[in-house]
Amino acid sequence: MTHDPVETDNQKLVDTTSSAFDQSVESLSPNIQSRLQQAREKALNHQTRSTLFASLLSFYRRQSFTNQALEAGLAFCLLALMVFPFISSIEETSIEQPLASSNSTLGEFILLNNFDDTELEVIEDIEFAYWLSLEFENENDINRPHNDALHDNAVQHNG
Amino acid sequence: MDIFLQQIEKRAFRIAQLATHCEADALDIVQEAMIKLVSNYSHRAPEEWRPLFYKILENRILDWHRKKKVMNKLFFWRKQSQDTNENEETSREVVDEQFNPESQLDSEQLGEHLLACIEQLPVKQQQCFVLRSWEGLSTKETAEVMKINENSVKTHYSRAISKLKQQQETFDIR
Repeated sequence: MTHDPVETDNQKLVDTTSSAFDQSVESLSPNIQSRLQQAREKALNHQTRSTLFASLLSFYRRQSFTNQALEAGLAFCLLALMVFPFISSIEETSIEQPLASSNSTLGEFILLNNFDDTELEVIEDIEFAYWLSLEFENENDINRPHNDALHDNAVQHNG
Repeated sequence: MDIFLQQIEKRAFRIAQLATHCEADALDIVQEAMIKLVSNYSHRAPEEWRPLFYKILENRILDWHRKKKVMNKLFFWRKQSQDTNENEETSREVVDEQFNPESQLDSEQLGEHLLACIEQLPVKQQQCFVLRSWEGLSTKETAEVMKINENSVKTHYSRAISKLKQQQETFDIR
């Protein structure tokens, strides 16, 4: 078995540098070694601080849980979309009906309570004017048959 | 994780030190790499930690070089003054070596000389050499760690080897 001389030289070179490197590693000063130890401890403390976070993260990373959560979330969204318009329509009817259309007396009572004195006077005036106009109409209705009879008699007499 | 970090921290520090030429920066890089490994990858299988750690470490070293480049561009006058200081120091070292009676050609000195040469290699070549030769990573693993293709790893590695050989030859001649 023959060895390539170039490769052998390279290997010698690598060995020489490697042993020099190993020696330099072994002969590090105590100051450097203690500082490296401190750095290591700091890194490991960092790990203990982040253990809680990492455990939570790994919990969320579980495939089954993620799928379940996604499915549950989607189902909830769909349900909310279906139920929301129904709930909102119920709320609208339950609030507006007694005030506006179904119970007019109560609605009027609440409305009148909200007015001040001047507004009430104006309303009273309008009501009085409305009543007066109705009276005039009634009076006209009573008088009209009498006038019509006189008109018919005059036509017959002339004829 | 504690045992793994204990095993790897010194080597990581020396690798970072070779790349940055600065003890404090090397310590910072190693600490950042350890924190990142612990906080992000501690849930992975232990056999994955080693390549992941080297990946983080090499990324940190590259980031450091990028920052250094920007800082050198911004504060170019500082760089010149630092260079002159370094030149003075190296010239002093050369003078010391010339007058040192114990400067014999033995493997220990050759190793130290080669380590100094590795420090001067371009970052990519240095990373390739360190990961392939010292940390025993395969070409594929090194490519994954460095985020380059396998052919580039081979090219960087062979260039690093040839440069180191040149340095070895000059050392032998001296």
